[in-house]
Parts: sequence; C-alpha cells; structure tokens
Amino acid sequence: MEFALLILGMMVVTYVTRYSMIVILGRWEVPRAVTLALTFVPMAAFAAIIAPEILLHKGEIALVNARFVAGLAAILVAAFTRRILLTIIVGMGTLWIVQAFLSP
Amino acid sequence: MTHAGESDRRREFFAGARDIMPLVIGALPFGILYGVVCLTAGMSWWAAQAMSAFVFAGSAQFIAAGLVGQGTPLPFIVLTTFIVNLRHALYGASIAPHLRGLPAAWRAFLAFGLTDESYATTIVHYRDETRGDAANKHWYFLGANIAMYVCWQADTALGYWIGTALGDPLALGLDFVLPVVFIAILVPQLKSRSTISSALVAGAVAVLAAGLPNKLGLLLAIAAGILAGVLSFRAEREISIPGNEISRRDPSTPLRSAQDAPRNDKLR
Repeated sequence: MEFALLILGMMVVTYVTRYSMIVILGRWEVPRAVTLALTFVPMAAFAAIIAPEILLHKGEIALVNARFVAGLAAILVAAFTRRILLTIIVGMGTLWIVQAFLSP
Repeated sequence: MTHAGESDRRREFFAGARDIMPLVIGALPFGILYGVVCLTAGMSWWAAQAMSAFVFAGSAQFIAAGLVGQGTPLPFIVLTTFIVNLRHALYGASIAPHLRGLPAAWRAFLAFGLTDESYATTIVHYRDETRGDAANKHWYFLGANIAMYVCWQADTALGYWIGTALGDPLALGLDFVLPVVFIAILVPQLKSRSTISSALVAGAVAVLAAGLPNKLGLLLAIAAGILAGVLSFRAEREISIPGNEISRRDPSTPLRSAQDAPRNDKLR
C-alpha cells in the first residue's frame, strides 16, 4: 500500500466535504432526506466491515468458528454493558479460549 | 487593533478550546483505539500519525485502517472515505452563513478543522447572540478546532504506543482486534429500530457480496444500510414513538441542520 498516496487522496476528498459548502453557500436548507441518509453512513460502514470478519471463513459462511463465537460474545457484552474496554477484553478473551479448545 | 480587541479574541479562542473539552475527552478512547487498530492493520506509526494529521476525521480513519488491513485497493478506500465524510458538507452548509465576510484564508483554515466535535460546539456559540463577542466568534471556532486537533494527534501516538507495548497478546489474535474494536464502537450506538436495521442490512449485504471484486460489496452494503435505515426510520415515525423527538416534528418543516438529525453520539 502506498500510504503517502492513500493519505493524500483521503485528505483531498475529506477537505472537499468540509470546504465545499462553506464556499458555495449563502443560505441553503439541506433537504432532510439527505441529512437523514447521511446519519446512517458510519453505522452501515462499520457493520459492513464487521460482518464478513466474523461470519466468513475462507469465503464461506462458517458458524462453528472461533471468530464467530468471540464476535457474538463481544456483541452481547457491548449491547448490554455499552462498555468499550470490557467488550474488547471479552471478545479477545473468548477468541483465545475457543481457539485453545478448537485446535488440537 | 486596540488592546481591548486583542483580549476579546483571546477570550473567544480560549472559550472555544474550553467548551470543546468534554468532547475532546470523549474522543480520547477512540483516538487510542485508532492507534491500536493501525498497528494491527500493518500500518507504520508514521502512516497512522500522518493520517491523523492530514485527514483528521475519526470514523473515516478507523474505516480506512480496517480496509488497509483487508487489502482493499486504494481508490476504494478513498471513495469510502468520501462517503463517510459527506456529513461534513452538512456541517459546512449549516455554519457557512456565520462565516460570510471572513477572509478566504480564514474560512479555508477553519474548514480543515471542521469535525463533529467542533461543529457541535461552535454552532451553538454562533446561534446564541447573548454569548461571546459577535465580531470575534471565528476565534472561538479556531480555539475549538485547535484543541481537538492537538489532542487527536496525541491520542493517536498514545494508542500506537500502547499497541506496541501490548505486542505479544495482540499477536495471538492480531487480525481479530479490528472487528472486536469496531463491535465495541458500533453496538452501543444502535439504540433505535432504524439504526439496528441499518447495521443488520449492511452487515448481511456485506457478507453476501463479499465475493465481488475490489470490495465493491462494501459500497453496496453501505448503500443498502442507508436505505434500510431511512425506510425503517420513516416507518418508526409513522407509528410515532413517544420520546422520539424527530417523530414529533412536523414533517413539512425541513431539518435546519445536521444537528437536528438523529445523533450517533460517538460514532461519527
């Protein structure tokens, strides 16, 4: 990965999102449908990265899989406690325990 | 400028820096986790730090680091960054009228530091005519931006250092750190039917479309997630859940700003 190029590209597109409206606008009401749609983008992106990581094993859906069990444990802890550090500890801990049992 | 004018500017600057502090502290764990995630994605400290310094956009940086770890082609990471950061255009739209009359260099510089945190802090200050010094409110915006920026850089460095110190335990499940951190960030934000629908649909589409080349599935999944979220939000509003302030809004009034939209507190 060419990180300099990646960061340059990300910097340019991010700056465009920040500066464009400040320059263009006098007074313009953003349509509420647009506002609403954009609020879901980060959540959808995070979910889209998580799901394949915990559900797929070598391209196939695999539920008997340490990562799926650990992911599920992390989701439950996050949903019920909303505590970030605890979620990470339980998720990684479950992964290590299940891996120890699954591997010969 | 008179001495009084200078002290007004200074007062505005430090008021901005002070008012954003709770949000800066709220961002601290995310900055640290970002540093850890970069390490597990195989990024050097320089790359992680440069991304914080030049891109300076929390969730987009997280998502980019995740995509780097998955070997996503560069143009797709840049495109995803653009989509994730589009909400800044809404903030810009909302704050633009207050920046009219400022020199172009000021507006360009303030735009660089526009984040969820600085927007939320500054727009309140701009709209309240009883607060601060009307002629110098751009110094308040600047103070908020700089406080956020400096702390975000420090958080990144600290996170990367913590990740390095954790070396051994991380190595045992290196590639799992990323999804588990993402779960820890995402799940607590799913507080309504629409946010849950959005995440579930995006996740399902991402799994089903995982075979598509060049991570095309990611973009499809984001699009499907947005659609599911919007449809579910509309259905939610029709049955008008008490306590949901958006549901009580007269549907004919447009949202005035991104601030009026449903908040995703920490997930930005």
